[in-house]
Amino acid sequence: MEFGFTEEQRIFRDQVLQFARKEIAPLGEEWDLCGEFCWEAWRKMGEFGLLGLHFPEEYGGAGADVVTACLAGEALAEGGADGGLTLSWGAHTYLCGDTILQHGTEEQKGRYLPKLASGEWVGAMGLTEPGAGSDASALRTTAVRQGDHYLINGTKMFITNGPIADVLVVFAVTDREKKAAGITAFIVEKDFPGFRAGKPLKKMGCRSSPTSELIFEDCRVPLENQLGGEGEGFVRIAIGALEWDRSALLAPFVGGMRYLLDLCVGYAKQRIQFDRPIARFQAIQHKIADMKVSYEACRMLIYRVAWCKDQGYPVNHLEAATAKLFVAEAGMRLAHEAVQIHGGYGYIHEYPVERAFRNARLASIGGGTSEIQRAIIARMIMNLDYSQGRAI
Amino acid sequence: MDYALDDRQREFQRNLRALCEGKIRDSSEQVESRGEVPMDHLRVLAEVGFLGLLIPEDYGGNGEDMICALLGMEELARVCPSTALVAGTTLLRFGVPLLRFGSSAQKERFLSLLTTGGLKGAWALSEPHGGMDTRNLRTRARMDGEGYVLQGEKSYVLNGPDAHGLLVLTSLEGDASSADGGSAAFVIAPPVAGMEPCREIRAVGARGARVSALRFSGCRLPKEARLGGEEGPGVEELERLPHVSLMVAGYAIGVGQACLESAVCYAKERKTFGRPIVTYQEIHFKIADMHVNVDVARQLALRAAWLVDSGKDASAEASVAKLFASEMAPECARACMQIYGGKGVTQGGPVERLWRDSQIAEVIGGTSESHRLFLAKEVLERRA
Repeated sequence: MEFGFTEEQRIFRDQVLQFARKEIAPLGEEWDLCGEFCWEAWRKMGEFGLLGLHFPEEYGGAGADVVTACLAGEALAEGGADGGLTLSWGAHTYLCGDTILQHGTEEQKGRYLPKLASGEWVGAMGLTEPGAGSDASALRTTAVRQGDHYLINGTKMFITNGPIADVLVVFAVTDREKKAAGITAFIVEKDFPGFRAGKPLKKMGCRSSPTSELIFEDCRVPLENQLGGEGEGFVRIAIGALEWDRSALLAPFVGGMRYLLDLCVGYAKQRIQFDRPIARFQAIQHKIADMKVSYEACRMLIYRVAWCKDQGYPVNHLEAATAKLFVAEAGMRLAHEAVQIHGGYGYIHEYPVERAFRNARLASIGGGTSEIQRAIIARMIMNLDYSQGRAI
Repeated sequence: MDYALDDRQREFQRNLRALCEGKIRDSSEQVESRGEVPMDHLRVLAEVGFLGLLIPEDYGGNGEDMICALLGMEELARVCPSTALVAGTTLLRFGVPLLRFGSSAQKERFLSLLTTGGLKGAWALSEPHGGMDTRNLRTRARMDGEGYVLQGEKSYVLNGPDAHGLLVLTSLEGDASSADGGSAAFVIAPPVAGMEPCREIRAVGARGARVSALRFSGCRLPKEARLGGEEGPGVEELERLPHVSLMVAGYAIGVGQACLESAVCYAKERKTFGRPIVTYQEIHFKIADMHVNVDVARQLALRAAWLVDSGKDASAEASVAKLFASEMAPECARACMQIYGGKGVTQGGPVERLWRDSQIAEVIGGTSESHRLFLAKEVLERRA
């Protein structure tokens, strides 16, 4: 066992942390309030090399491993990057970029990845529909082959980066009989005829990350834009993407917990009540201790998924679902207590804890609700034979 | 980064699990009803290597790591929490401080016996006036000629009634020049004149582990009995050893795992409305939460154990693990009891013992409250 990071990883993490504190964090409040995407921060992240970190160098990336990618996401948020921005980063880099990297042809990778890595193009992934969340068999969007192209019809819902995306990985039914095994993935460009994104939805949190519907009306997608094999869309591609959803994409949520903990420590030491800093009260100390425990636990869980991925273990659903569930729920509790420690100040926009509280709510919904994670975990645990050792 | 156990650790875990399933599980009811862990258990635990962990070959140990000790605590607690605590206390509360700070003569005398399974060890810190207030110990050691005289009382000493080796922590009466002489630890081989176990109690859980107070009335000890000699460690240094937190964490993880396994087995067998309750989502969610709890506790504890093995300060991480693990175990027991329904709340039923065993983890090895205060201090002072 070895739970440490390499020297190189630690140095890189510190660089990202400094970058986030200096360049990114100051932009958070304004863009959250107006509810728009911050292109200035995006460009800076592209220049820093964060938008395609784990892509191979030939595609404009840095060839980082998954653990390093998690470190970057964690450090971004620990340095105060807004939750909306890191959400957009996750959807762009992992759900879109990595999916193309893992399953794309040479031509597809060459065409899309360099522009995604630089930030010139923004990526998104469209799986969820108005009537289908985690239940893939309920997907209604269809893709029908006609000569040298597919015609896609249907609507996607709650798509992160929808309004600003240039490239979208989209899942559609190609063979209804086969249910989950009849779903195929496609790469859609925003200029394809018959495609448009809906108006940005006004959200509770992560407001600087634009979210919308995607509307496909006889959208023409060339055959060469099919991603992976026919029928592989859900069972192979989306499932793989969800693992990212439950590791690297979660890393900023964990970094955000550390950011909040640091804010709370600072505040509790300077806020005076009854002639002493509130940090001296046991009630506050206990909250701080619980935050520390949650944060440490979350870190262990996301890096385990990252490490599993780096080892090339094919499926790590149990570890991923555990991480997703725990991080989401612990993150909400922690944000709740952070507001509580800040009292009235925690309830107003000017203090970042208010924004963090709203942002934290998403983690137990996006990428599979906590209920779905519990269902996945239970199914796997109930199938375990306890006499034969355990999952790591 | 590497989240996997290495081959040696896996092998140790496999061997110990085989011993637990083959021998220790079957006798766990008897251990509980008789209120005693037989020395034979310690002998087989020595054979399988548990009692040689962390201890060098010079004293009959195998020098294996804290991760193995943690895995061992879990395996033992999973089948017999009393045995886990008795053996764990012997190795980690008595053996480790002795190994770390003892003189060669002390180590030679006690560790060589410990590694053969011929010794129960104990650690006496808590006192009747308060367990956490260790800066003001009222058990005092006074210099007297060539030795020390101990006066006072210790409470809640696990293995207290039948320990063969005992570490007792006291304040030191200073000489004329300084009123406060700090604190010290003494290593004793009972029986000794002036020290007697008294007021034996039964905890609600791990009832095969014997617990008592110890009364010191003019107990005269040679100076060689002081742990580490004149320059030996004080309470603060000894309390900072992370092993005890990990011992309790391992205990709680084992109990939590046992709850999970028991609940899953029963849910597959029990039927309501014509189908096994394992098909109901309510049950799924309880099982998922139990798994997550146990899994998270295990990860936290493994990381702290790894830090110990790497020679780094693990006091905060071990405390995090202990706090989380000790609080999740009762939650698992509660969920297990709920899944068993009426059978779960039956006295003498399959869950009662798990439930009782889970409760004590939040108290032994430092209460949850004391760990929260310690952690808050570490975080507020930016050490962790």
